Amino acid sequence: MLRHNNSEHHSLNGKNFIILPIIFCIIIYLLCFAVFAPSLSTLSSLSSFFFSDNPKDFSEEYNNIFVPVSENPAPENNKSNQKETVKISDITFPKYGEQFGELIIEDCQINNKLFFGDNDIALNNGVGIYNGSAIPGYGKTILVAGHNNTYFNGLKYAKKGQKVKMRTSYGNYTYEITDIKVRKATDRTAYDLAANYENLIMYTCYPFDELGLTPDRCFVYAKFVSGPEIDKNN
Amino acid sequence: MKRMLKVLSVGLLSAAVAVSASSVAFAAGINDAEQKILDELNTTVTMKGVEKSLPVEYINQAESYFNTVDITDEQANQVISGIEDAKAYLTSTGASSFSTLTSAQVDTFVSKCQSAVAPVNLTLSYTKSNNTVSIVDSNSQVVFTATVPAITGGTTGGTTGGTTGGTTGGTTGGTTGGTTDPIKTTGAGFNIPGVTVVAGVGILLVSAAGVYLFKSSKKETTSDAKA
Repeated sequence: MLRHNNSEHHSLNGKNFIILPIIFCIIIYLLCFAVFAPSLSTLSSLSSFFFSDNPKDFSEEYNNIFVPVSENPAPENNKSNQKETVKISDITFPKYGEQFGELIIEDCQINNKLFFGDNDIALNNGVGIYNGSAIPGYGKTILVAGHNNTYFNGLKYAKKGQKVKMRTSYGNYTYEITDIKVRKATDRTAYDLAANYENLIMYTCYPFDELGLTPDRCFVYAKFVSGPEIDKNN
Repeated sequence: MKRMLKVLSVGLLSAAVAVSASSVAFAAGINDAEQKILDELNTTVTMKGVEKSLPVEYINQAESYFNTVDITDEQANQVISGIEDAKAYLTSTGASSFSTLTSAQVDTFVSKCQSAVAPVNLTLSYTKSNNTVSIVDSNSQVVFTATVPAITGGTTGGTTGGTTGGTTGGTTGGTTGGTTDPIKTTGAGFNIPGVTVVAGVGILLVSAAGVYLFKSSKKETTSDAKA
């Protein structure tokens, strides 16, 4: 009887300490996989963040040179065909990482600080112009980046014809959205940094509410409408 | 009285010099010396019979940087001489692109690039582990970083010129940390609440499972002891 009980006890132990833990592990693994699957890319980014050789800039300090100017003169004063210009010698050209303006798209509920440069500090505090592109008024492509979950989340409401305003210390600019495209981040045909005309390209990761880092970007293209042209010869 | 006049005139003179010096230091725009460097950056370099040029974004960065400083003629000549030297070296290696240079050739090239940016008080460094070229100014402010693949770019566009640009153009602008390709990772930041919530839920699940396991095994032990 006692021997019978012992063998029963051993089989119970085998069940409790071998089979159940294995089943438990499988269930927990599947559960964790189900929970973390949507953000696997974020987790992998986190791991690369912890083990990366690249230095991470944790500083949140930045220089702000933005002093708002009054809105452009009333349309009555702008009726002349003369181009509005501002001398380059009269402006304080922003240095890398400085806030020098604001970017506003009222229809998309976007009202952000505008930085020159798109480093971590800039994108944690607003949107940033790639310093290999140009500043407003310079007559070239302006390439602006912003995070999809924060400052450029509103780009999901972007539609053709909507107005984009950029306010700087040397003038206020208006652009009009002409196109919206989703392209791969590596697709260099999505932008032309050699363009010799003023145009604005804003982009953010796509899909907009994706938690992880994505290979796609949503590009919003806008044409120049108004604002002072920077006179580079003076 | 005379002494006082002397002190006053010296003071005024110092103030005038300081004001003029500061106005020179912050003049925006591209002067002739800077334009000469930009023109040099726009020229191609021949590698194994193929003309290579600097990516336009590096020229733009150079232009942006030059808009925040003033380079003198003397500095420009030294920089241009450095660029020419680096380009000549690239051609002499016989390599078809920057990525095909040997480790020793890369070291020599980097050294030439360092000499090219030195006249404008910039310091260039190249990190082999992540193929990153970075340039900082005298205040240790990063003014340019680029990953070598980005510098080398395509087969024709901007390979070596890119690196030269990374050097001189490197004087140019730049990004702090991460990639310097025009398009950045604009997905969720690392500090967003979403990541915290997901991590929190994960920890809670694991903790709950642990507690459950501990309690059930304890219960089992108690019932075994009773039996």
